[in-house]
Amino acid sequence: MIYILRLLKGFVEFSAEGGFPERFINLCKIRGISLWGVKNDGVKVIAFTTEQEFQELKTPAENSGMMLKVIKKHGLKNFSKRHKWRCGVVFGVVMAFLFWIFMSGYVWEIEILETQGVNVEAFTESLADLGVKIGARKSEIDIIQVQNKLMNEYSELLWVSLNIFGGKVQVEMSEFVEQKEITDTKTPINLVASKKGEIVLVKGYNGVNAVKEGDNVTEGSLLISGVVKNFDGSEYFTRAKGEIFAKTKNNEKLVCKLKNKSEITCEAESRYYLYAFALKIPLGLKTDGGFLTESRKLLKSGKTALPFGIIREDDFKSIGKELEYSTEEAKLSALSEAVKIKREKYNHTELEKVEYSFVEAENKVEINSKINCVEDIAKETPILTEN
Amino acid sequence: MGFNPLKNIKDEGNNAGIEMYGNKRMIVLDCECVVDFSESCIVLSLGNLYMKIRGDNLMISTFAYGQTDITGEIVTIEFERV
Repeated sequence: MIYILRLLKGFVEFSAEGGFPERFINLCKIRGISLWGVKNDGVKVIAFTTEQEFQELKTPAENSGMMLKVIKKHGLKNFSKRHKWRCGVVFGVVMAFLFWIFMSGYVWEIEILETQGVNVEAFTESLADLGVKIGARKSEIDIIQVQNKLMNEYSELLWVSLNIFGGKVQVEMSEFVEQKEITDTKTPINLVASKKGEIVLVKGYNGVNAVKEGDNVTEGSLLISGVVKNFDGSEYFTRAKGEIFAKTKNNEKLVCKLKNKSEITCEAESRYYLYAFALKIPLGLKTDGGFLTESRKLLKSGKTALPFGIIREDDFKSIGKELEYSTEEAKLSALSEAVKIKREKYNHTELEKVEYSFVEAENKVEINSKINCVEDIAKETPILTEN
Repeated sequence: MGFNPLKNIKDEGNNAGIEMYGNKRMIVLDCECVVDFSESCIVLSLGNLYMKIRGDNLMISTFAYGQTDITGEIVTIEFERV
């Protein structure tokens, strides 16, 4: 601190030769001249004093027989005097300072935290619509209003918070935690067959079993009854619960046309932009817009992204094309689709037999899948009572 | 008043004192004048006493406002009655 004050005030480094250094120092003290960094190398004394007090050193130097010599003048005054012709540098420093002040009033980065389940791109667009975007003036952002509007727009949000740190806007949010559906355990129901089949396993947890292993059932047959009889002959209703596994036969039919229209997406062109302070300066000609995607490579200072960089815009174009299949290709396409459906639909079943057969017709191929499997056929149905 | 070991160098009533920071820095309060001064030896007058400081690269960092700040590698300190 003292050094900074001395720099601002300006100080002189000088040497004093010949005579009596001790006397010189003592005379300086008597006259109230402050000296510091006094060093005697045996030949001369080197010391520092303020510019103002250096003028007063002549008398003590004469009285002690010392010859004074200025080594160097330090401080802001001398620096500006030395570099008075370099006014451009000073102007540049001042302009840089003003530019820094001006730019710190704008938003240069938006960070969105905790985005589980929220579409970041859509959310960023919503923020931009509310005035929170790169290049926006910080003073024009009404934080409370933006928060309230976001809460209204995104009903899944529990809370949202907007914080501005320098040129960075940080958006933090939390979503509602979905509550598990409360399963009804009280309404009395029956379990009936959802499809016909041969019962192979009965696991009754609650209610009265109406079938046993080896029975054949049709769709809608009662499997576990929710009506239970007491020993005294009276009845009460309960919620039937259990698993009934049966061998079932399923048929699936799928058609594949020989002429198929499909859309192929391909990358057409990339276009680059120079990005500086929210301005996009194109570095190429504009392309006819298809489906545009944007990727940014920004300069970074630590973790903070600076508003300078390169933006790459890829223009994807969709081309509709009519594909004509040969019969074999159509069969293969239909088979792959049938296998996909089988995987999705019969994922939790034990497959016993799967057969595929093709029927060729005009301009199309039909695939019939016969799937024999063991699956849980129990289906809940409410008990209908009078009144 | 509590006992201040740094304030008993001179006669009673005076405020002369010494503060030492290892053997690299020393502050002498109310030094009257410098008697001898070189890189290896500095002699200060404290009224009835001479204080002789020996060492290497000795320098008077401050000599104003009633305090003398001596830096360098201090090896010995001697007191001599005048």
